[in-house]
Amino acid sequence: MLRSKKYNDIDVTVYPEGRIDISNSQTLKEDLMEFYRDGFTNVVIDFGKISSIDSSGLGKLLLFHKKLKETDGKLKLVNIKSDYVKKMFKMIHLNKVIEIEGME
Amino acid sequence: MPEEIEDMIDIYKINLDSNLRLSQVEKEMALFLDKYYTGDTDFLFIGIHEMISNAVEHGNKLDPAKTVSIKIIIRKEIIKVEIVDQGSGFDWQNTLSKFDKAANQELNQLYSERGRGIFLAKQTFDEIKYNKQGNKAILIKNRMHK
Repeated sequence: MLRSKKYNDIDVTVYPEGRIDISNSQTLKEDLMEFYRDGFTNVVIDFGKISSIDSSGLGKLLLFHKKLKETDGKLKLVNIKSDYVKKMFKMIHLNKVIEIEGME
Repeated sequence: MPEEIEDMIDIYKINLDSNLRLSQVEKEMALFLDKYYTGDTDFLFIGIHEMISNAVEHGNKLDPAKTVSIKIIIRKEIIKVEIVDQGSGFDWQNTLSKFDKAANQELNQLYSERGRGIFLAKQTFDEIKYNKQGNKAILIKNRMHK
């Protein structure tokens, strides 16, 4: 289960760690969906301890973002430390779809 | 003499089976590429990682008995990466042609499972092609960094 900090009934920050790739992106999505089912619609993902992400991870983030948007919620990515992750997000202009701290 | 080795400077070969961790293999490949590529190897890795993932997931259907063979060939002008899986291939012409049609909707590509990886590989390499069957991906990067 993801480490998380709940601020109230709808705001939560989650703290995944390590690499996000095909071996674990499905688990990440399931964990995120659990927060969604519990009513959390404003979800912040803290990327402080994420070292890399690939297309399967991006796919899950995009789907989760879509899901939250349907219920007027919001996904925000913050505290991106890894250069690899920053390059990936910049290359695909992910900030045009998902709010990313430092890439407004 | 096959074209492969005519002006080959160096080669890295590995057969990725389910016992090998991709992250470890990627570290090894990074050390190899660093010797020959003056640009940002992170970008090469985005493409290589995606093509390996596609091979494992869509090619080999995550079958642990199947392997993916990877070759990185360094030539004077180019870096060529070959990724071969043991699957039955796919209709790559159709997938690649969708990119041309949707050139202005790059983010839409990210919603398509296999297309997403190909899209990222296209962003990071100069050329991407497949064998006829579609179980061998070839990525080409010019060594003269733009």
